[in-house]
Amino acid sequence: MNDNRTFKFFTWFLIVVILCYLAFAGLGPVNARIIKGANDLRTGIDIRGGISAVMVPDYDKVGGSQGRDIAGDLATSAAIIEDRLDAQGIFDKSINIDATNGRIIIDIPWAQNETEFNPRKALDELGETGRLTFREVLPEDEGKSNDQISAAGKEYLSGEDVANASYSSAGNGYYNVDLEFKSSGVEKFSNATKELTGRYMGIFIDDQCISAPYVSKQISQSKAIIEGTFTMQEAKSLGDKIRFGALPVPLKADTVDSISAQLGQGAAEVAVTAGFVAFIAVCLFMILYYRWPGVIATLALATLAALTILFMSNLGFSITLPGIGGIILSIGMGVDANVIIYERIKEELKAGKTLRAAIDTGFKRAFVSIVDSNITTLIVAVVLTIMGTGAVKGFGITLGLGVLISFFTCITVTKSLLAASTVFGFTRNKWMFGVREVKDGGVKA
Amino acid sequence: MTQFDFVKNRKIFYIISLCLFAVILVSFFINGIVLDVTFKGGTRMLFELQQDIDPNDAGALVEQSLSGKKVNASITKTYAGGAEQNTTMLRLDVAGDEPLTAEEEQKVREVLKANYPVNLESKLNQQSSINPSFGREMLEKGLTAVLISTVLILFYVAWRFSIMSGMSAAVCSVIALIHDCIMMVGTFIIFKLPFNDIFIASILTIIGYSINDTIVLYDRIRENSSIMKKADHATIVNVSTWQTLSRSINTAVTTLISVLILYIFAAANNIGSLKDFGLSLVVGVITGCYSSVFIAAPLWYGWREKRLKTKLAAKA
Repeated sequence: MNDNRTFKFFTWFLIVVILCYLAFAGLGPVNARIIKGANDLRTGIDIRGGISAVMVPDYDKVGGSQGRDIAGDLATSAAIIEDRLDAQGIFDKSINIDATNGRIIIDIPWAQNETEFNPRKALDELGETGRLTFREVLPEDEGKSNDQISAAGKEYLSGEDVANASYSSAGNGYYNVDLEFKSSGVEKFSNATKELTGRYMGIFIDDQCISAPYVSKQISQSKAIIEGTFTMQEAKSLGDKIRFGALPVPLKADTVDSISAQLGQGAAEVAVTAGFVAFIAVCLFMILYYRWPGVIATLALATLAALTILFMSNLGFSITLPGIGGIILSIGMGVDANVIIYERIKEELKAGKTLRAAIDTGFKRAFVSIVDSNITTLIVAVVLTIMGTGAVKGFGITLGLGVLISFFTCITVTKSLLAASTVFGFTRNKWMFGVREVKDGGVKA
Repeated sequence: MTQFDFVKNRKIFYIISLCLFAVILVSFFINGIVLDVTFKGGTRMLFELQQDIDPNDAGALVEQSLSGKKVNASITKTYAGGAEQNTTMLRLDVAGDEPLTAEEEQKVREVLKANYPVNLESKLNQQSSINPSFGREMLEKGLTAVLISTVLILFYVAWRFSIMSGMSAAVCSVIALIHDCIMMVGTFIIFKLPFNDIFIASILTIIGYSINDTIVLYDRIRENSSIMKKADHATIVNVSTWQTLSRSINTAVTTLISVLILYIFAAANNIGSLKDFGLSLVVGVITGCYSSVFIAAPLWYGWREKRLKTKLAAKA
């Protein structure tokens, strides 16, 4: 035969094997992974435990707690910390307001690869959730790098005056940070830019300067732009810091403890073992029921699992209980897609089509239904990701990722491998497709 | 082989579902809803421990002594001044609107003292009330998200399945979805599982599963509607259901295998939370498959027939 099905088959097979190996073992040395594998997966606080930090508001830094709505400040801070952690891809956390003692208790998972207890690192990961201010940059600090600029200058605005911060393209390959002020901030900002025209204004989180733009003119509108040679990542990160760093009162970590898994000890091991056994059981079922296509399905599912692990691991998302739900669902949908295709192929074979024609039509017919079912699920996933917070958002992300990967493996691995495998003699035996062969050349169910 | 008539016998399954709803309603009045600290907030207690214990067991014991109040237990390790001298604390979160009474507190202390190496007089011991971590705002956001995705699904299905007179298909698929959600809530009520993060994970998973399952069957009805132009709705629904039946069963069986294994492993290792998760998914997968075959498709038939009759009546 002069087509290249043999080559195609083994190329795809090789790709599947490589992906599985990468997902299993990762690439590169343990400390500096180029590609992170299963062992680098971040497990959620519900599964493996993590860090519990008690954060207390530091009212001394904002001139005492007199006349302040402490409950309101705590609620605002908790919401901001929630967003901030979401932005870091940490969806499994529990943020509790302890109303009795006026504190916030934050439980967050261990960092990726973290085995030793290291409170400092945990706090770093909480991010700069301090108080945001816009201050004058003292003349002697002009031109210095951000971390050398002191916060001693006059304070003009604080985080409470900022409505929003986002980023946009400047058109020359660089990005700008777009600021929007609340009505309370417009006049203050106008006054600040008037006094500082021709000088620098520092944006501080606590005592740390995060940006020191040059003030070119007085700005009296609710919107302002920080221009600079920002990359998209830098502009987004600065915008995030301005947006999420705007805590009404600085928080300091009172105590930082380790905490055991919320789902109970050993949950991680049980979940992993159960997942492994379930995977094997499903594959066995598929092989026994669908025979040769079942073998292909096993390869497709292995690819699906491998790609899910690779994405989760390298994007730094943690595996949590809702995440496991999302993964079970997406693997279920991956199985479903294979089942739909093979059932269709069977029908075509029973109708007397040749193997290659049956695979071709079977795929085409099944494709429509797979697309529709995947898109509806994707709609759910996208809306949950955009609108949800915490666990709901985490579920949306794993599900969305899973559906995309499952769709991808179905149209690549399943299709290519199955179509290419028709080059092998044994696939011409209809028994291999779960259809009984009849002597006179036709086939029968 | 005489084939089962899904359309003719549809009322049987409507009645089965309605009966189940009734059972859920009755259980709701008997069992009530058990809200976990995630949704309810409650009291947090910290006790110093002399050595490590299994927090699951401790939580279960305290829960028994407090007759029905949900308790979550975990172990925290405080690293006071360097990692060497660490203190182990037992953290108990008791769900409840009211703070614990002095009597209840005493019970907790007694249970702990009788069973575990706790230091009840330690200065590190603490007690405070905590607000729900999955507060009102999060719940509202989550519910809005689910509602919006439902509306989007309605429109998508209505558009893609216009040959099945879109809106009727869309509404029926959403009814099947709501059916499964009610069953999921019912599972938690009947088995007295606490409403917490596990409930959120389960219901979201089943929403995805249910809609996926229904769409594939609808796809076949859509395809057959354009092929079998002369056939009536009943034949189309029956033929399509039969054609997709082995797919419906196989998909349900494979998913069921996975979640059953999760349940069995969790039960064998006595991990309550994962067991609850597994159990709710087992029920969810069954109802998800059931609702597509016995509710969504026949319901669409019923709707179409009714419209047809009113149209004919209008003509006559």
